[in-house]
Amino acid sequence: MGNFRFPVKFKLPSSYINHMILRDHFKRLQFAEHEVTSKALKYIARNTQLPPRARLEAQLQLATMPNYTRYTQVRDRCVNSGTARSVLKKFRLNRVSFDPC
Amino acid sequence: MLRQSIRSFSTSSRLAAPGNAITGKGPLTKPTKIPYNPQVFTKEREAPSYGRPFPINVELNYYAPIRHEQTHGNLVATIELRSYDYLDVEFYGDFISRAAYYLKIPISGVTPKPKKRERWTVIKAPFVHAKTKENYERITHGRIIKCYDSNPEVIDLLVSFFRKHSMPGLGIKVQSYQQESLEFLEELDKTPGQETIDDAIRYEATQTEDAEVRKKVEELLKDPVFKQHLTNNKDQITDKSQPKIEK
Repeated sequence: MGNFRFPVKFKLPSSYINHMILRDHFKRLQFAEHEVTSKALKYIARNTQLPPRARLEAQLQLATMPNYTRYTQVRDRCVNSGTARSVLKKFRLNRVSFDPC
Repeated sequence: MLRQSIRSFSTSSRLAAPGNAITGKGPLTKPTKIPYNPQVFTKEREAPSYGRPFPINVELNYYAPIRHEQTHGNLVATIELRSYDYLDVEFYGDFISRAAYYLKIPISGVTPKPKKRERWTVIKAPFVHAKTKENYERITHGRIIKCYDSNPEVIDLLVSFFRKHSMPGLGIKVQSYQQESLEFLEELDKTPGQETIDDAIRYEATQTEDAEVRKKVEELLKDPVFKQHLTNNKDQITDKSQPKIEK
């Protein structure tokens, strides 16, 4: 995703911000933007009633879509510290930030 | 004040309750037989820095809330309170039952809900010390108040009243019920606005996620890139007009 990312302007998240948070946030936004397209292409590619060439075309278009349009690239991060380890999903917080004491 | 307010009513049976009301534990009182003769039970005969006796409604705060008797037993609304602090739900349940008394809504008692316990375990430190864990717990307390035999307008008034005096850290959920005749569906079919209801349902169906994808599929198949493959193999396509979405 390297150089492509920087010309795209997007709204900053309201949480703690570091470079990894920004990267993750960008992936989430891009996934949301391309979700309908990728679902439609997947539908065409998997529909056995459509001609094989059309299905292949859809598969090729899916493959050319950038990686950051897939949800597998998204990872839950702590909104308070930005770390990706030991994050309690319900609170979106790391175990250290979660400690109320 | 709170502790005093949840005292048993039996210790203060000398108090004459105005109106047709029953208490939590005491016997039924009928308005025709008992004269309105409010008595003062606080030690101070006059309120300090006020110069006058306590009003009867202030006096009543020292006793358990009085409840009206059910007339028909129709459940009209359930009010559910939730908080992480049991004092909050207890205080607010008391507040609502007092408000319901003055609005003449017959209610059930403030029934406790089972406590909801949520627990989380995390490691205290990574790698070799990962066997040392730390536990966190959150308990959600709940209370339920059932309202009977009241108009929806009165219930709305009660809801708007406790919305006005809402408390931080306390969640309230109100479910209201309405009784309909057995011919309700037939009457609904006869109403002139029926087409608009069907339209609304149909419109809602187009707003789902599937509908968006379906629209995009149709759009893509009209694209010349896909269309060239489709026109060459026309006989292979069986159901192009309405493609089904598989999930």
